[in-house]
Amino acid sequence: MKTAVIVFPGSNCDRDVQRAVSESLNTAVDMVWHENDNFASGTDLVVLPGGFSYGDYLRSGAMAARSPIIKAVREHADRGGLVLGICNGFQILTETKMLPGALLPNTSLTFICRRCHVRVERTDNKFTAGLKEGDVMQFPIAHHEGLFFLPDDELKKLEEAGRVVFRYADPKTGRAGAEYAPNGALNGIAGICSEKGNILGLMPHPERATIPHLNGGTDGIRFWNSIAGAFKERGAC
Amino acid sequence: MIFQAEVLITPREGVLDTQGKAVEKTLTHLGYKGINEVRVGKIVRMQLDAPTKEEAVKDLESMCSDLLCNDLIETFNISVREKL
Repeated sequence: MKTAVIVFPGSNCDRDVQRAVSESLNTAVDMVWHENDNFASGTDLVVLPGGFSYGDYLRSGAMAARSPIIKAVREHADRGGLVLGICNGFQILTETKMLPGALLPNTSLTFICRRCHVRVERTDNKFTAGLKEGDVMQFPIAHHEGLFFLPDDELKKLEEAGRVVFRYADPKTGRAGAEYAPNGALNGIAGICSEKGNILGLMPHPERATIPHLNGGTDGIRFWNSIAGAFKERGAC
Repeated sequence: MIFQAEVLITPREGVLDTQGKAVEKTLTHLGYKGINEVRVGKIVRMQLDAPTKEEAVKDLESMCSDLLCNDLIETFNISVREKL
């Protein structure tokens, strides 16, 4: 699997993703500056990493969503390529409208940085096909704007279309929903995918749950392997 | 002509405004009564050169949809005056 991580001014999880993916999958990962017009041809997965692109000025992800590289990211997605947005990357994807919704300030109005659990809601997309529905993963969160918002009617449509991929959950009972969302996210939504299942945005950080000695757990490894699974089938990984 | 413009951006009705709620609560704690529906927004001020006031407004509307305002969660109000 060929991966490119887009680096924006203010990204701070770019190297974490690079290391998490390269160590989990034993593969090289390209780092691509956002002012570039493109990334290497043959790239399978494009990652928009977490951080504070442009200092979160105006709105989180607003300026990064208008970066020169975004045109290539959009074209990659249109061709069916995989695009993963983590935390600020998710915010960027909603700002580009490649994913619906917006991430509003947490109801607590505080920056929340802690371990967190999410339940895998769907596996009929390109990212979680190697996981099981109902699996509860421990991924840390670190954000101030993580309250997933969509107007009621659109939220209903998103749910009915089965595009909610991760929901905040209680690890003991396996129950998931709004009451387990640390940030007030509607319906406890932690991650959603595009209609075709090739674009995924999530607030939690699987790359911080990958390297064992970082103490964030290793559930991230299962996530990266799940993504790579799609490419293994065609012998490209 | 040079215009002085102001774009007021506020959270759309129905969108949870946590900042507005916190400000409302604090004002109430301070003893202010009868406060409701506090919304916190932002102002973008700029000078811009345009042939007419209408053109200036058109440019600003375009800027709002391109960058300044996320129409899913925000609304905007533009005011323009000729810079003296």
